[in-house]
Amino acid sequence: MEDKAIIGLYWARSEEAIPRTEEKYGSWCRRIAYNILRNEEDSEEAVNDTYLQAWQSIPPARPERLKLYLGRITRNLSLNRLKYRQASKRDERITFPALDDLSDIVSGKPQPEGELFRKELVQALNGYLRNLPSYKRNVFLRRYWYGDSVKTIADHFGKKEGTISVLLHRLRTELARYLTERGIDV
Amino acid sequence: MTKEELWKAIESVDDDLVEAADDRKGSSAEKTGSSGPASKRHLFKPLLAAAACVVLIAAGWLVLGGRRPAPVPDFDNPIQRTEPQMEQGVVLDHTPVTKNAFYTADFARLLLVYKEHVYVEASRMFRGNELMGERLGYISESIDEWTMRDDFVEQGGIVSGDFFAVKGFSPDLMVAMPVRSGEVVFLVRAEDLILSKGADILENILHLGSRAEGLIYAKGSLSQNEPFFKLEDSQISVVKDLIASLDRAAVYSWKAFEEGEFSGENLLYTLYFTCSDGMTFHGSLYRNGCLSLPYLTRPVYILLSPEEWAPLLYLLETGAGKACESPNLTLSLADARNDPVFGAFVPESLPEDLHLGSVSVSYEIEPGTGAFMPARSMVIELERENLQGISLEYGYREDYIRNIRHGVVLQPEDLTAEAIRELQEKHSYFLGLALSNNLLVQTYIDPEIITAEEAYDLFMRTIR
Repeated sequence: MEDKAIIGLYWARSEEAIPRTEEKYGSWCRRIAYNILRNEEDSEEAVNDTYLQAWQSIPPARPERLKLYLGRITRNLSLNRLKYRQASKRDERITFPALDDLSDIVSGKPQPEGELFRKELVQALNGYLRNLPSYKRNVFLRRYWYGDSVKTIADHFGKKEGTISVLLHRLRTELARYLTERGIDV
Repeated sequence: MTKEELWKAIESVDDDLVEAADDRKGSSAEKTGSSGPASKRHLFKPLLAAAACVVLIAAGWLVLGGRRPAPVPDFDNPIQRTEPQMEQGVVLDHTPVTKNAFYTADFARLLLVYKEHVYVEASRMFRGNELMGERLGYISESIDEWTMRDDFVEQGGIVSGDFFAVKGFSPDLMVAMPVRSGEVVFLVRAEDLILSKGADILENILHLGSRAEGLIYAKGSLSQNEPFFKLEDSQISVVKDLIASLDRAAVYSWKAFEEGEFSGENLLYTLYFTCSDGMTFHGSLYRNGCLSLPYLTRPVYILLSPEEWAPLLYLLETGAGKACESPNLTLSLADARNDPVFGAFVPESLPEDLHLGSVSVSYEIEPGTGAFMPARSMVIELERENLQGISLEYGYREDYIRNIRHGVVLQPEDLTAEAIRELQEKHSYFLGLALSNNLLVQTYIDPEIITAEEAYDLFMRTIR
């Protein structure tokens, strides 16, 4: 079913929207959730919460790309769930390596909240990514958007894990430098 | 900033980038180092005979001093012209550059806005300063140069810094800007243009007819990693003839063609027209006989008949070109050795099983003149079979101190293979070596990638 038709179902408040969404994007959302949570049960719950949030937000939203709209919700909810699990110490061993990678380049000091800052940061990230060759850009996004493991990325690109680890480290370092040069305090 | 804040910001990067990264096809094109799909030579077999006929007829025509040969009938070749469904000509009007526009990918190239016109990167070269003329102004990498009413969203490719006129070109159509990689980027105006013939782009903007002196080409798209070839000087007349015919050829928008005609599998050759002053201009030849140029805010295509492409295709398909380096800019090890800051520490030679991957340098640019200041950082990437990840990264200590978070810095007198092995056992991922009071070179020392002896050998080559 076309995205437009699925979104139409949401707008018509037809419950059929959920199974159609599951049919088309369920496994995709599950992959993102599992990358972050590493737990099937939690991933399943995160994906179900994704549908619920989509149901609550469409309308008024009319996403241009339903797939990414859902992916962003899943990504968000999964991270919240992970933080909850870590905070409640239900499982202290739970880590999310892709997120932890990023602590290499950040100070850890929270930024003052503000849409303007966030917008600047996103624009700078777009700038950084667009200036990368597509191979490096895709490696970066697979790790830090999709949360893929280093092994998964290495398998996909036919590289050794060490090669991908080095590349990711270098990309993070370059990103930190790029942001700093643009006045964004990381 | 916290890691969660950065993670959440990454969530909002542009859709097209995120989608492109999720190409689940696992295409060989995406896998660097692979040789791409199997050879497409068989596709061209019918062409070879037909193109040979054209060349023979043309040769006969030249020898006999006759008239232009009649068009070759029944031309069964990879170029399959379809009749465009719309009138020729493309008007590139004042274009709001919106975040989700379908053409966003074009702006992976650098762009700037000058006098309310978008200029898009068309070429770049080292040592291009000689071509830069008068300083025209400063671009702040912000929305300022654009009027807000246009709903302009700053794109990633936007640059900041001084920009300059280009000698021999009108700044209304081309400007130049030095960038930190040590290159000068040439940007051409990409909108508020009416394009009806190829000459409106190739001659009026790029001055290609009078300046072209060669052609570098590769099969398919660049991501297929096919080797590059260059035509010999003696074959340049074919390239010049082609440019002359492209100048006369009609321009169409993509809407004039059937869906899918410009898909990846219909891309026959990636071409680079090289000019006497060092600029190169990239184009893509599609199966339907169109040459596309990637410098404009919307895709436009110059359409030639199969007969007009045949002489050049014959040369390309019969292996007339000589293997050459990629026209995409790379520095050599010799360039690295000539670097005024780091050159003295670049190894004279590399270990036998390692070869050079790439050299990249970041420069500061002098305001006002656009001249490159001495280098601040340099990365020499080294490879061996099926392995990337070995590198020498040079930088000032203050720049690099954070990079050494997963490792330590050694003084030259403390450097031994044993010391490196110990670090590897302690899971130190990086090793820095102090080259002088304020210079550092570092490498990754993961034992899966490099042994302690190899890292020691590599480092010793940087010590004078």
